[in-house]
Amino acid sequence: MATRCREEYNYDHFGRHHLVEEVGGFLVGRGVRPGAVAPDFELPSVGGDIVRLADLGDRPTLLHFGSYT
Amino acid sequence: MASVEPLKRLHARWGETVHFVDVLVRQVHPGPEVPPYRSEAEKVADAEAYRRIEGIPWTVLVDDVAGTVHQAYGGLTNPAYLIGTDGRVTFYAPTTGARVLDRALQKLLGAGGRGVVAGGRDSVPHLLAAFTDGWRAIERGLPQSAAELSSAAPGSVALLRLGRRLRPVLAPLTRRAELLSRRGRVALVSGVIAVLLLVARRRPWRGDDKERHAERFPTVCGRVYPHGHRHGGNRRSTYTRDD
Repeated sequence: MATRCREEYNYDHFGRHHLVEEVGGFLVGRGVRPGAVAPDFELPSVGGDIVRLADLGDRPTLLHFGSYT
Repeated sequence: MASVEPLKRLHARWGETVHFVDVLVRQVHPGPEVPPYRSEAEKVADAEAYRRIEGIPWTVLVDDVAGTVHQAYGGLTNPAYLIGTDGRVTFYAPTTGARVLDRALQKLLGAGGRGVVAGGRDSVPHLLAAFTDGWRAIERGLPQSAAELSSAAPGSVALLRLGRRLRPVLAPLTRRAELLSRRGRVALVSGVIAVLLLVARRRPWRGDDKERHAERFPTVCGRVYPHGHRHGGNRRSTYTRDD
């Protein structure tokens, strides 16, 4: 899938094309397909710890993406 | 404008047996007080506020400013994935429906924590929780966020504001993690239709109605939209936290 540059990803204004893109992404099932390996990552947490997805394998993981706005 | 409230119900039920991880993404509805991220420090500060204000009891991670991880997972606004102990995606909910995630989690744990479950992907958009809880996110970016959302999806802001007012009554229903009974679903659909009819009646469709609406809500136009956008027809161009 296409990756956006930093400026395009962090847009200044929400517009109709963002909504259309969201709905389109939902309809075509944009995302990691079931059965595929989940892309590994290593990110800082609130609190300062570094969390790596691969280290969470002792239990299933519910991974949610959310926005402050 | 998504809501984490349904996830809290899921966490209360499954938090002991499943890792819950949130990744903070970009500002979906930016505004004067919540501009698009330009530095990691801004994003970390918002992640801390996101966790504190929303009362999130699970781990919140901070993606980089470019949204590398978010984009690797498709870049949709409010998705959720179930990832098995083998590191593979077992279920994908593009709009984070707590009820389907609850069902998928039951199947996943019953299958030993791995393997595609519940068909692998949720194909139904889940917007009920956003109806009652979505205004909180929009409110942070006022007035820009509401004006832009209203322009992109006419009527959506009115619905969110109505949902906020109805939250005390509807939240127990919209935040449910368990599936509704058939009778409950009929009641819910009836309620949504009634709400839509109410919204349609309240919208100032004609000139006379617009004047009456302005008389009833004199503080609505208390602020000027700072970016000079013009909104025609029946769209409101200004929003305040006191609406």
